[in-house]
Amino acid sequence: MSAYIEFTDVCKRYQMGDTVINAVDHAGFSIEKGELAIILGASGAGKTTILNILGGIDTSDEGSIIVDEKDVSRLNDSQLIDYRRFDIGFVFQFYNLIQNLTAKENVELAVQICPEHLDVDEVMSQVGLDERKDNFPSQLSGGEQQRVAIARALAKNPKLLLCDEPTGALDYVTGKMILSLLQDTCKKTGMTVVLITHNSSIAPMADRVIRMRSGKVESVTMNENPMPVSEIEW
Amino acid sequence: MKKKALFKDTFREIKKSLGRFLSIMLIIAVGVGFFVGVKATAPSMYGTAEDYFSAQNLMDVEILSTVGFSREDADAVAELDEIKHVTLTYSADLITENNGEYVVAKVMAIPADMENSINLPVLREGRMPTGEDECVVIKSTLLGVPYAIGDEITFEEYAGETVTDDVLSRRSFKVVGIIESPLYISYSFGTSSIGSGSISSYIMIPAENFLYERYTEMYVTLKCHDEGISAFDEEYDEILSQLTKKLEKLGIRQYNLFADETNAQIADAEEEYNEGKEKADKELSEARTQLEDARKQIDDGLLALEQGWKDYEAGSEEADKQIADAERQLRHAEASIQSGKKELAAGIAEYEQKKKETEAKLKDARAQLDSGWAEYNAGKSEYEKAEREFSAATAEYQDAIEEYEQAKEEYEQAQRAVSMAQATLDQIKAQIDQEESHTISATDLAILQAALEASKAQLQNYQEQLSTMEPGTPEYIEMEQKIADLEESIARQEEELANLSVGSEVSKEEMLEAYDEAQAALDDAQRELDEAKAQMDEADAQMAEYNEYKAQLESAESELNSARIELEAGEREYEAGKVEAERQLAAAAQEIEDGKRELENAKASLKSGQRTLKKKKAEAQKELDDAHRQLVDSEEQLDDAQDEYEEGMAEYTDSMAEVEKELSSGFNRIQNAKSMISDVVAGKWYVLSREDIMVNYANFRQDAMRIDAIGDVFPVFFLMVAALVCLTTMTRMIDEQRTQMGTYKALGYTQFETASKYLVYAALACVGGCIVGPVALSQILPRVIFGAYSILYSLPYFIIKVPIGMLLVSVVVALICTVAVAAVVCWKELRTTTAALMRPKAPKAGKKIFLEKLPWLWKHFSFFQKLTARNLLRYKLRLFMTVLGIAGCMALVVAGFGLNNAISPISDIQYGELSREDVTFYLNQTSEKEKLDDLITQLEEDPRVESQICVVTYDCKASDPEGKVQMEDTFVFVPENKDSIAEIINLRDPDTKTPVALTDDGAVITNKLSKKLGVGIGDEICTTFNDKTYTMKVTGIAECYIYNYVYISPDYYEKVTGEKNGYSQVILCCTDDMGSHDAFSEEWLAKDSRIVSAYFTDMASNAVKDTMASLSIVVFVMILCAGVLAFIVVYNLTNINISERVREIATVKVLGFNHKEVNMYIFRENIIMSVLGVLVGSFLGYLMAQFIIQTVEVSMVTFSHDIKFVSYLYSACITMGFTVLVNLFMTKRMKAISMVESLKAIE
Repeated sequence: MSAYIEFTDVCKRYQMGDTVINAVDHAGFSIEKGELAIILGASGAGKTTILNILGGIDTSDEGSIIVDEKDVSRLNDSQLIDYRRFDIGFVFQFYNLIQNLTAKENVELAVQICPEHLDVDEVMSQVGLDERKDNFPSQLSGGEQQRVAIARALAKNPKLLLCDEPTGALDYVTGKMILSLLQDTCKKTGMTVVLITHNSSIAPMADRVIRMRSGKVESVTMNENPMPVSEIEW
Repeated sequence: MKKKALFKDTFREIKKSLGRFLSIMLIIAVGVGFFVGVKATAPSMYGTAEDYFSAQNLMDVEILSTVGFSREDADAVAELDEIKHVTLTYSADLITENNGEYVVAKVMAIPADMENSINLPVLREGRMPTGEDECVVIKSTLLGVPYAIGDEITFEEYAGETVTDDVLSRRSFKVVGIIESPLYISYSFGTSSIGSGSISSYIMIPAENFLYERYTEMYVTLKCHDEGISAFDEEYDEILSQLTKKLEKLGIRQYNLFADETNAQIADAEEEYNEGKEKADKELSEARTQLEDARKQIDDGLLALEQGWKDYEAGSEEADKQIADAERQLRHAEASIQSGKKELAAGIAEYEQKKKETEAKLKDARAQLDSGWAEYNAGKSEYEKAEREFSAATAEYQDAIEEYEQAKEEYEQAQRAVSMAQATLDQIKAQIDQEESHTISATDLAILQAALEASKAQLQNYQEQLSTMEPGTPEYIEMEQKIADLEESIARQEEELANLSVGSEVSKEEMLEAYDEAQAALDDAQRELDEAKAQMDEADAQMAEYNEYKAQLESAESELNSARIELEAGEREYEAGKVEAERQLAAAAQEIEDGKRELENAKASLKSGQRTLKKKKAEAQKELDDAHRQLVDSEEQLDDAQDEYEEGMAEYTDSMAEVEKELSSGFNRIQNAKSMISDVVAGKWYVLSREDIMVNYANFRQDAMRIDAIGDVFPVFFLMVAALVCLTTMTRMIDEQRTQMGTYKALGYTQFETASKYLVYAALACVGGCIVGPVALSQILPRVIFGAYSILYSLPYFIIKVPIGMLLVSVVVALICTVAVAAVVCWKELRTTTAALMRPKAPKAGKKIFLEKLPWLWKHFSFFQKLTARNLLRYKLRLFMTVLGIAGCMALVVAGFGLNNAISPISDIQYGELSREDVTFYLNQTSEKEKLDDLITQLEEDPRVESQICVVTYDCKASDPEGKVQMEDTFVFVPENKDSIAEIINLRDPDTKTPVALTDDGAVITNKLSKKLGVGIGDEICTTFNDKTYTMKVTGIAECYIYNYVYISPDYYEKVTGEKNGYSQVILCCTDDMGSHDAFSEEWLAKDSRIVSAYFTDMASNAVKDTMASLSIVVFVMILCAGVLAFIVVYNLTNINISERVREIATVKVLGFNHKEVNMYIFRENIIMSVLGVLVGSFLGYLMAQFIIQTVEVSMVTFSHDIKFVSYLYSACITMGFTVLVNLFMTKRMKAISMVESLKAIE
């Protein structure tokens, strides 16, 4: 029986003028259901590409990506849309909230297209935004915006929550809050969370740490006892 | 060198965003091009006209005078400062026949000095006249007469009341060339006071042909053209109005000179007149007396002549009677001669007859005698022959006797043989009897033998007989036969006997046979006996005959002798008769000779009588002839005298009339001159401008102005929309590149250098557009528009004059919209600190929109509807720009359709619903209704004519009672009665479409007239026609689209003008199957000489349709341009919308929105903006259409001001169609947006 998420020999190449860049070079790893996995790597290590491929935003050139027994690499365009729609929650580095919608409405935006969504207000309170529901993104702080983004991703009730440097644009405290929110969500709901970061100091919070370098998986380590975020210092 | 990288960046930017660059360029091109193109139309029209007019030295002013002009007048005018050149010339309106139709031609003198003269014609074909009898005609048009080179034009004797021969020295001219005249820029040649009222051709003939003493026209050109003042400028109008005043003043002065001169002449003339009158009166009275004497003499002569004739008649009668008597006598004599002649002829005939008869009788007697003699001779020779025969017969007789003896002997012999044969027979019979009981015995044999013996004996006997007979005779032959038979029977008997003797028994049959044979032999013998007996008898007869013959002979002899005696007696008698006859004949001949002589005598005397009569007759005739001749002579003399008298009388009357005429004309002239002098106004000069005399010159100017006015609305709007879009695009572009600008700035580039990238980008797009657009459209649009107007105006060529000022203005506007906007936006951005620039611009904050304050509405919105609403209102400027851009296009399209709407139905409504007339007959003069009754009756009989009505129309100027507003192209229309007008014109209310009645209390005016003059029902209107102004009351307003009419009833006409109107036209409604127009008009023109021309409404409706079609082309061009603009606008704005929101789109894509949802996320806004744009545009379009329609409307045509709902519908469809089309284009782009974009940092 294979893992919940299974990356096998995945390659992704970009044509840059005359040269071909191997963004992902025969990468392979697996993540079990309910795990909080962190993909760690420097800029250009190919971690974002891995996340994009996993999230159905980008496609791989080689290899297979199995998510919950579904081969994502073989999905066509509209199947990929459905995959994104029903199976994936995405949290962006820059939150990517719709400026013209209030916090709640931004969550609702995702919910609109997802039949098996969670209750919006519940999710909002879950991320601690009860008070700021009707505020526009511009009226919210970065952390709050990221929480809206997380709420938006969670409200869809996805199989997989993908976070692209969720703390990248945040200060230390806020970043910590966001990370602990993600950790809690993983623990409480048993949702599989994949988080990419270049900050290796947050690795202890993960169940599984996948280190990447130059498009290759350098190592995969398991933390038997992940550390709560509050205990991590960086 | 240092900016190389910057330029590279700029060009890469262009390459990268080629779509945007091109869209800016195109929008500038269309905007500027359309503006310049439309704006170039009017200057091109003016310029072309100006160029053409100055090349042909078109007159600026035409001066007319009631008294004509002299050279001195021209010299006086030439002395004025403004005047460049003066030409004096002649012209006349004359009538000529063309295909049975009488048409009016304007005949103009060709000036002697062509080079310096005014209104030079352009020679199109052929050559200018060299001979006096040659002419050139204007190029034919639709309305004109198509003359060709070589045609002969002959003018009619009368042109209205003018006698052609008083005007021209000849009436026929040969066409040698085809010209165009700058005086005629439209296809119509204007109106004339004669004939059909419209001029159909313009003919130029050598000036020498004109017989006028004074020039009829003076043409003047102005110096101001050399100073660059266009005839279409207002300055020109100013100069013209001042000059007009001067000329009018000069006219009065010149006229006074003329009047003084004339006054002197009048005084002389009056004196001359009085003298002449006196002298003439005296001469006339003398002539009168002479004539009276002559009259008396003639009367006497006539009386004498009458008596003479009477005498002559009597003499002539008498002579005739005498001659008749003489002739009767002569006729009697002649008759008796004739009868004598006849008698004589009868006598001669009788004599001849008798002579012939006598001769015949003698001849008969002679013949009888001769035949008697011949008979006698014949009888004698016969007798002699008989005598000879008799002697032969005597010899024969001797022989016969001998024969008889012999025959007697034979007979006896035969008797014996018979008896012997009987005996044999008996014997045989007995034998047979015997045989019957016994067999044949020897006796039988013996019998047979005996029979044989007997036969043999008989044979012998026969042979003996034969030997006695003369061989060859029948008896001899018979006998020989008998002998042969007998020998045969003997042979048989012998055979029988032999048979018997052989011993065989002879049968009874044999016996019987033998018996029969014997019997036969007996019979033969018997017959022979008979024959012999016959022979004997014959001989006896012969002997008797001989004896008779002998007796005959003897009687013949005696007869002969008696005949001879008789003959000799006849001969004697004949001789005696002959002598007697001859004597008688001689006597008769003598008698005839006497008669003849007598007749000759009578004849001679008749002839002499005849001669005498003839002579006498001739004498009498001569006498009579003499008398007659004398009478005729005297009659002739009298006639001559009479003629002479008549002549004298005529001469007298003529000279009297002439004298009177001369005197009266002299008198009149004097009076005229006097009155002219006394009435200074009569001596006015009329100063007419180009607009006054040239057909459609004013219209041409107005049309050009109209197009210019359209150019003020349409393209300005166009340019505005273009500017708007450029502005949005440039702003957006610079916003997008904010961080880059920060980077440049951070790198140390100056503000200007940083901005220059965008300025160059904008400038290139703008300049490109400004080159492409005006170059293309300024060449195309004026041609298209003027091409459309070429239905109305004819200029020989078309020069495009691009208004540089307008071009510069539009280029400046374009530069402002692009480069200046770029500069401003850049400057605004660059003003902030570099660091701030480096940071991404904070996205515009979302906020609650006003709609949310209406929860009852807001809560009904779906999530996406809310989102759309917020998005729309988030960027209010963009919303405003987009809506305005789309609205602008919509407005342009609506205006285009509205214009089309306004013009296209005119012809259909006017000629389909309002006007029912089919044909208008123009009459040669205005006449009373009663005089046209016969024509009406004839028309009623034509099956093609459904109804007809007599009308009269007056070309008038209408104005409001204060005279503030004037309307041209107006007609006063008077039908024969107020009710029958409904047969030809549907007078109806323009709004309610209910019928409007024509009454005797006032006028019905057409809607435009009412609107323009501000005159409603119950108000008054002034109409000026026939040089008088009348005020009429308005009782109704009727719908009408072409021309303006004031309809009044004949009674009202009389009430207003104080006189009764006549009728000059007959308007007909025809059946649908009336057939050929030409045939119809030809037939009627030939049938009634009063009909001068027939005008078919079809022609008008087609002409209107053509005009409208030409405007439709203009409209179509506008719609097309507006459509193109709409597309570019929507494309650009959508493009901006998308590029502004790439990140958002990528995010929703990542969220799992499918394509449709993503598209709708953006397009929902587009569609709503388009709908808003359409709504706003409909309103704007309505306003624009109204403005344009009012500007374009000409005075003769009324446009429909309603824009049909479908026009809005079409426009909306076009605009929305473009939106949808652009959205379809954009879906591709949306699809291409990579989701990876969402991960990028905000730049």
